[in-house]
Amino acid sequence: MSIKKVLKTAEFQHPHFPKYLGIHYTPEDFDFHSDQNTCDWKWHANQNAIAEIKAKGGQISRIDACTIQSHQTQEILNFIHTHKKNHYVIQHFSQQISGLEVIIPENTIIQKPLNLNIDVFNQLSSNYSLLLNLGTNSRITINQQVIIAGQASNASLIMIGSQNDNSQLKLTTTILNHSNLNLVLFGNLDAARDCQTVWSLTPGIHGGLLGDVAINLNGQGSFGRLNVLKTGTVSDHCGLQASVNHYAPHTKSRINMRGVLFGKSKVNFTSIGNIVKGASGSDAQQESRLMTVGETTHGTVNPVLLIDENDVNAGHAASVGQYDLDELYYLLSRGIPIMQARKILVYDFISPVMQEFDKRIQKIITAAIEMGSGESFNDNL
Amino acid sequence: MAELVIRHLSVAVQDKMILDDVNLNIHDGEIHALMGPNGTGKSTLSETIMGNPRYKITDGKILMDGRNIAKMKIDERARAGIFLAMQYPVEVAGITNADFIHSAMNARTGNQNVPVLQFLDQLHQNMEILNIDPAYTDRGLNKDFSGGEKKRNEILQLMMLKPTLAILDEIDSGLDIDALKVVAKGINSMRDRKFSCLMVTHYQRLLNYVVPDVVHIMMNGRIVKTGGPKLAMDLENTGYEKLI
Repeated sequence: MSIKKVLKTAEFQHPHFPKYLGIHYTPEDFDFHSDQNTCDWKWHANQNAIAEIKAKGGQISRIDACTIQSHQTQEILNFIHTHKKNHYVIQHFSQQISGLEVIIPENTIIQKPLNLNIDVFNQLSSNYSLLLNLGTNSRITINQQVIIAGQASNASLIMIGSQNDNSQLKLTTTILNHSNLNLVLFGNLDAARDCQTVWSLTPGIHGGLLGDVAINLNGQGSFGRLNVLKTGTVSDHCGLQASVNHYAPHTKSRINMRGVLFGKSKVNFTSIGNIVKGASGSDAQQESRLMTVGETTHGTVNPVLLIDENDVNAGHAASVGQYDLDELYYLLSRGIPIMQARKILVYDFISPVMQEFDKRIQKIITAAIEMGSGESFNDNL
Repeated sequence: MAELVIRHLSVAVQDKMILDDVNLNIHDGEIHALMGPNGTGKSTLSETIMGNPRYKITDGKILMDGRNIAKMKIDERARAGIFLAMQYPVEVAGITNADFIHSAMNARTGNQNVPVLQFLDQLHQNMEILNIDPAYTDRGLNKDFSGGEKKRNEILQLMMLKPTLAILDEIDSGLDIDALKVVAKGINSMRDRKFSCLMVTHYQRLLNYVVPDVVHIMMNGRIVKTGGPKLAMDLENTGYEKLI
């Protein structure tokens, strides 16, 4: 049965707007105003990585209503079943399916990072899905950049990844848009036994963002790191939940979320380390921090640890505040101009997450900070 | 040229008066020592000259080379030649020590950047004088430096930035005798007719290695006595109360 037909069954009727601790949003803002029958988009990537993936038996293929394969439908349906009451997930897959699948077969190490660029040109609401599948003992680095270049007021992105035993995935996701946009972003990366998953996300969205991303450590001995870097400028508003779920013993996770708020932007971060009964010997640590640089910014961080097992390590650190005025004073006292001094402190703040991105994406982040630095500040200096 | 003239300076912190009618003249090329008990206003004077916004000038003037600096911003004062070696230098991990010093030098030269090789050559020479491990060039600014290393790093910045007026706020505190000698060597290397300095200290021992031209005693927010280097020695024997 097709995805659209499944979604018309009774099980998926009357979904709700999702609720997240500490994240306040206007549900209608993220509603698609019209059904989009086609998604106008294209993808391109560095040829050396594509050639290496193909030569080693992997594939990168476009998914649409005509070409979708049964295993892809099944993966999507599995995802939908875990989010069946989520209005936005149902909304996403009720549109014409459009996206990309990357498959890396077992025992395959891809040396070249895959720089994957997705350009979306829709004038109306647009949806895009990415499916990732890594075979046992495989390894790849993917730098995914999604640019929403059309005039669409709404968009929806969903990423579904699955890693087999002992595979390693390093994924960075950068999202950019040209005109004001409300974006919903969902992602699940499932890791089997002894996997390593590092997912670094920088949603450079101008407008609104509602996101819920998770790494599921399903197999013993796996490690997941989830990094988030958000720069808010002008009147951007962002609510983002990042979770790592420990479903197996001796799993380890690190969540590191950093947000810099310029102008009148609002950012709510929620980070969840979830260790279920039976995941003994697990270790979940998280750090969520916001730097409020602009004159009238609003930010909250909500660290959550859900622990249902005794023999575990877990901890969190959280902060919301301006840069340290003593540090600013020190830099100024050496003659460094105030604008440059502020930027040094902003870069200092984001450096633990910034270093997870490659140079190309660091340039994009730097540009966002330069843009934000042109707005008013609240340090009275 | 760096002449500092302070006239009838009164300073408050959160409406509490700390400095009361302070007068001080430091002429070109002079090194002055400012001594006094804890909480008497020595650091307040240092921070006020630098422009720390916590300290509000309620009366009086601070003139550098005849120019009233009270209206100047902190970074403008620094670029005009004032340098404050801080009692507790902060750590900023996100910028390396070398990049920070280079940025500060470039800020002083306007649009003309100091060539990198010339900068590094000068940096390494000064680090050698101060017995600073070359590996510290690429470490975050003051990041995980010991107290003594931070103080030496302040003097390294002093030697690189070459200000015309330096204020050294308890540069000797927390230093063992060997480190003190190294720091003193750095300060003495700056001695020049174009370099003036105000050293704030509790201890006479620094003055054995950096001999001041003038010594001032500050108590209760006022400079109560001024004299030559012998004044510091007398102070060591008598203590503050008996000296006044």
